Amino acid sequence: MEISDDQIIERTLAGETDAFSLLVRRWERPIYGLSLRMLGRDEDARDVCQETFLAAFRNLRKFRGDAKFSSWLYRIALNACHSRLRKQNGLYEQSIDQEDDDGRKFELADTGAENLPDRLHRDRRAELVRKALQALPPEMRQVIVMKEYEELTFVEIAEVLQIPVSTVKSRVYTGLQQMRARLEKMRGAL
Amino acid sequence: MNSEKNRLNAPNDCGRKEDLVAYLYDEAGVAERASFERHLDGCAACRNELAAFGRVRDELSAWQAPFAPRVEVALPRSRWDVLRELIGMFPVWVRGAALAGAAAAMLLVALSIAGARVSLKNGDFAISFGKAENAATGAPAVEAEQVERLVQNAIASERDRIERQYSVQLASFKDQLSAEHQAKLQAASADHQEKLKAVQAELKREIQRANRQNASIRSFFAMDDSNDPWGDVR
Repeated sequence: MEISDDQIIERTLAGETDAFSLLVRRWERPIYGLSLRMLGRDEDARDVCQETFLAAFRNLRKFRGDAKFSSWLYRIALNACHSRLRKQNGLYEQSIDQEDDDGRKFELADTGAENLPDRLHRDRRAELVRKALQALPPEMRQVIVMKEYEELTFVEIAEVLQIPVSTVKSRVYTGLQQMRARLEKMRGAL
Repeated sequence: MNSEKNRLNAPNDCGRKEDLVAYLYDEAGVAERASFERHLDGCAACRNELAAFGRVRDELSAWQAPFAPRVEVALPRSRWDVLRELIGMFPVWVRGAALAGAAAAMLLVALSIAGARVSLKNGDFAISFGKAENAATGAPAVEAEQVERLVQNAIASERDRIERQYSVQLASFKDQLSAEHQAKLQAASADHQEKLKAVQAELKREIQRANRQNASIRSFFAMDDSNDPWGDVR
């Protein structure tokens, strides 16, 4: 039987520092995915990942266990993303009309044996999505990312953001509407 | 064509936005789902929006993140951990000798502070505190070399004791190392499980995407007319 997050936390707090690495291995993929979709850049996502786990380790005694550990971790990661976005300032709400000429590295999945035309088509679609997503206001973007890519339920997202479930649904609705409009506009511009 | 596009993109004012997203993500309860399906029969705006959101979700799935890189977190270590590692760098006998020396030095300092005197009376070693004995009692003053021998004996004895203690600790560290090795094996196994889950989740998403496309196509043909909802922007 797999050891639970709470059991690992207990062991870590009892002085077994190495036990924390089990939590890192377990949650690094979701936290990296969330950060990448929020920030759009691999190296920023890696930095946020490290910041998140370090902050979680340092504040582990403050984790009271009244919410899931993953919710607490997602919240730390989102705070780190927002902090980074505020620092980026001008890029906070990137216009969809802006060409991607700011030297930002765009990470794509390795699609392996896919042939070149298919891959180019997929990459182009992915780039459009990234741009449209980055142009969303962060409060919309974060719910879309958690729902679409992290596959959290509305209740789980509400727990992470500490807002009512109805607000989450409303933001997802507005986010999808804006994504629809932006994608249509970008397709029209091609 | 433009009027059709405008109709399809017209704001949805029917007041069931939250129900729509709950239905879209399959998180509506049985009653809520049935109620919304009845509503869909009579609401072209919601039908249109549901199909459009399905297409947006398909587009979103085009951006797949690469496999997450391994996160290396340099966890802060306690002073005790650092000290333990530092001590662990020396061989056991060096650690034992150093500790024995330190213990003997501390003993001498303590005796000195307490005003102790070492004496030999009738061949027995004795330590006394307080005022010196009356010379008339005949207790001979201890010779310097005898004190040195006594201290060396005490050091040797303490060293033996500490070496035995470290042998026990060494065995304990070996056990601990073995346990850590087991924990790492467990972590590697958990990691493989996570990757397996990720692949399964990806497969699930693909199936859901195919289902959504299927639903979109069905919804599209269920509309009043057969115009392409992407209109002339495609």
